[in-house]
Amino acid sequence: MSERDPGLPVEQFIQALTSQLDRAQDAMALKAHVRPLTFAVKDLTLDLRAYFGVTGSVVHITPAGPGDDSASTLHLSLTSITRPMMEENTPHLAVGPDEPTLQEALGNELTTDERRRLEWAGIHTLSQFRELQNRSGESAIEQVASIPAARLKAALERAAQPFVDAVIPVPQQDGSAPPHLTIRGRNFVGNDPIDVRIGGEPVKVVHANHREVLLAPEPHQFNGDLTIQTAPGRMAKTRLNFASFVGPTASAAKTEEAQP
Amino acid sequence: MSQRPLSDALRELVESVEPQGIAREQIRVTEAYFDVPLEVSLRRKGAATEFLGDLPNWRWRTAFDLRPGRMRVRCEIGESQ
Repeated sequence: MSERDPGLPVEQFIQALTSQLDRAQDAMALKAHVRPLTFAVKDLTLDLRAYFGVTGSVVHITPAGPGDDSASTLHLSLTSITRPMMEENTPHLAVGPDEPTLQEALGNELTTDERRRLEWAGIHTLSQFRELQNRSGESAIEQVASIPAARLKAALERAAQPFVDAVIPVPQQDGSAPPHLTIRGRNFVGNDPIDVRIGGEPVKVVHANHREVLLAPEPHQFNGDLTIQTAPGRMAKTRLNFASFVGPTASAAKTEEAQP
Repeated sequence: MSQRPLSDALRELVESVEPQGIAREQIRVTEAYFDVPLEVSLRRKGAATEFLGDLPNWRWRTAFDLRPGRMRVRCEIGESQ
């Protein structure tokens, strides 16, 4: 790195270092396939010659170059962490079995690099993202992942939009009544009562939770645009075409997310 | 100036104390402790940064060479998980 290089924020410096240690441990662990006993690094200390600088509230570090005799020394001690230690010291962040990944939920709202930094912080799913936001606030996530709070808010707002995965007709037991419709997706419960319309007319909602809505449409409500609104500006829209109902496993051919 | 990722240098260092050939059947190193000089630099790889670290190439340092830091590593043999 040149003298003018501002260096790296210390957090990223440590992450670059620990990823190297992980790589070394992984390579040594690979040998376990051919040898039952293998070496593993237990402790590692480093005395690194480096320059430190502060930009805003971020401490940067730059390794000393040739001829740099006035550099500071950073002393780092690292030890290998076992799974029980990790479980004991890390707050449990719940993960649902069929949860969307950050990529699915956030789309292009965050860059690949920003998503990677969230994953470094232990945030792999949307519920983990929200849980940590509730516990620590956006500023803590901003600090750890170096993502501006405003962008985090925008990403969470996008992730809160309802989304329709599938619409499935459910025949009723007596056979003569029109079938119900099950809407599968996510974010179907907001602060306001859910508003579901087909062709612009309200539809009776039998029950709703985050991942599923059961509708009891009138006979003429099996064709047209289905909209699900959970709050002002939060709406999903999909096209229904069940006028000629064909069977219990049929599903809507096309789903789309409405822009707020 | 070192150009190898630290993981490569660390792995080679640790593996260097493992007995080779016939010695592997007769002797077992159970613990090793290294205290070695380490040259460190960073390499940008797109958005990511790679941590480079290696033992100095030369015993006698000139004004053009990095003044090394220090790395101490303790490793133990054990059954892998």
